[in-house]
Amino acid sequence: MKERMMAAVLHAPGDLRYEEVEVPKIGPNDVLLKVKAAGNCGSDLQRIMVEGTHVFPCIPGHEFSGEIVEIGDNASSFKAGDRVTAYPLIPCMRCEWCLQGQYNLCEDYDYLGSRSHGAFAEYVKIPVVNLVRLPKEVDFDEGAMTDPACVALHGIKRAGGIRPGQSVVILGTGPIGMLACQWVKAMGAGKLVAVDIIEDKLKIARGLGVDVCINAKKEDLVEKVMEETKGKGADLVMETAGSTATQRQSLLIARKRAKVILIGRSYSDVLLPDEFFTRIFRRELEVYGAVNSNFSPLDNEWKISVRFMASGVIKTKPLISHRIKLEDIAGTFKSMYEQKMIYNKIIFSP
Amino acid sequence: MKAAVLTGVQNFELREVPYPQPPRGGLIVKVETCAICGTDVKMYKYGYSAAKFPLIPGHELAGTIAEVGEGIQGYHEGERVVVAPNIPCGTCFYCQRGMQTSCNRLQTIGVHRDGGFAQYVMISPQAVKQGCVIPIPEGISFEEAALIDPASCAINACELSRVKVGDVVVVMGAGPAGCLNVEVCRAFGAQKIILVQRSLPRLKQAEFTGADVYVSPLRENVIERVMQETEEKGADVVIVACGSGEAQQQALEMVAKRGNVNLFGGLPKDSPFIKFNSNVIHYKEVSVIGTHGCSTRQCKTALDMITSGKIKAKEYVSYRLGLSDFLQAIKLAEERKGLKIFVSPNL
Repeated sequence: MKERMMAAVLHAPGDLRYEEVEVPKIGPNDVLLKVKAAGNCGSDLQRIMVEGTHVFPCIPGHEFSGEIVEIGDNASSFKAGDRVTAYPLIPCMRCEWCLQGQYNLCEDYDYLGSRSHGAFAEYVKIPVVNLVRLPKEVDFDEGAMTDPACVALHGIKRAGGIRPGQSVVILGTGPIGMLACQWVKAMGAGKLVAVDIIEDKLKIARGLGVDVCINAKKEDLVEKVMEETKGKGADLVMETAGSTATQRQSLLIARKRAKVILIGRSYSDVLLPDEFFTRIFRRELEVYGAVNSNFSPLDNEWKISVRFMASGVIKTKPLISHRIKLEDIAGTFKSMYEQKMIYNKIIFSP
Repeated sequence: MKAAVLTGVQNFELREVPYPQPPRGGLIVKVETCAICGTDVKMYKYGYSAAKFPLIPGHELAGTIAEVGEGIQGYHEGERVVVAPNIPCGTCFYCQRGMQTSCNRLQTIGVHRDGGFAQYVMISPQAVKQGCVIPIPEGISFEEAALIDPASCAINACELSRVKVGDVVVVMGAGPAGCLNVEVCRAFGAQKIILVQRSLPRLKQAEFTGADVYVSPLRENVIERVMQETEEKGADVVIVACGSGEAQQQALEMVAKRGNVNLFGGLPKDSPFIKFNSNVIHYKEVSVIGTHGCSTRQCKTALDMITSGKIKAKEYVSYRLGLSDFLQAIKLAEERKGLKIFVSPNL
């Protein structure tokens, strides 16, 4: 096994360096993964350019796939050569949430790519219990998108899913939004509406079977949704864009007793004027927050996702806008931050 | 007009009966097709507690509006419609809670009142008021549309069995109800569907449903196969879409811990009792439920699913007969020939 590898290391916010570091040493319950593909999460831009990781230096990257090259003494359920992806959250297994299998709510978790070294590197160390085998139909690029597929699924499941025939509006057609579109279709959604302000993204959404695409820059989103739902509003609204405007609008396009799922994070205060707040109250809206995904043995969204990806119901390939060599990662994040590129999912490969 | 009239148990006559008059608020529908349901077979063979003879049976019907009664808006002559046959009262305890299948005063067309095995059928003001008359979208045939009733029963089953995304579901019985349950489970997001049917030709016939695994007890041990397909955990949901007590018992054996068993098919009324190990339910924390019938809301969802191709309605059309062949139609259904048998009174 080689001793040194190349990796993108964050030394301070905005200071991402492609450099040589030591290959991680694995413990008895770990495996060493040769990274084949690692995607950018929406959170990575903010983390790398503005907020920083929890420790420095740290290798970011938590959406990935690869091939096992080394296994620890107690990790014999997998073997070298296995193709896998992994749940990036390492739960404490002691807090009340971990004891219920709700690892995404863990009080004291570790996290690959923000608290421990992640996958923007040639190799990454992972506890064997976090691994998920990739079916043969799922390639490495697709496998690296299991995480966002699970995040989208988790959001919908948090709200109890949908009943076939119900109308759905997805705000934001980034990777999470487009995966959410595909999940609700798999659950039998009736009219499916997607909203964005970038025409190219809406085009992809149309290709994935969305019934109505709204460009919120060109049309009045609220008016248009009302028109499409016979004046009632949607049964399910999912906010994935993380913009103050859509976070507020999500409340205006929901019908009575609708479910509103907030899955995009906020980057500034979201003020709720009376008109918006009153909707929650008068329309008896159910507002759900959803973060990360479930990895509990009883309800493992990762196993569900890879199966749906294998069967072709969930398509991730159309969401990939760029494939970039890992050595070019620092410049790529800089361009993204300076809004010099329009991107969807970027796959970095070492 | 001509009608197939049941005058008593196993007594059928093809009769000339008076053309029905449209009451104020009601409609007359010229029947283009009406499918045979298991209930029609039962009614013919054994009678039916809710049915008073003489009766024109038939409740899975579609046609064109022949006459619009006074005081109705929103419907017009010549319009192609399908009828959701269960007419809820809309005011009882259950209706007010959205549980129309449990309506205390449920009136079913072709059971409580004359139905679709006739050239024309009267649709009561109450049925119109409850939204039971549903326009057929362009491009959907009468036969496809007439499938909404059995299809919506499957929707009711999946809703109450809480089928959710990623589930492994076993459907027992590959008749029309079983096949529809497979397609509806898939639309609900089921990930792996195992279809169980003894008869091999019937199992083969069901392959259009896109189930993932087809199992016949003639070829293998059903419970063992289900366990093998589920990493020894059992299925999240088992829907028993056949009238077999033995299948109901097996369902309890193959369901996962905390899983749901739906007794979808009724048992013969003279032997409705089964014996089972109740400790299985106790220790596995299993939910056992039953479902029957459907609501008008579910019928509309069914029509959407037929229109969007989630339910491949054309695949269910096995036979097409005229009204004078009504008895033969009943016989074909009883002998489980094909999937659905359609009677066209105006053929």
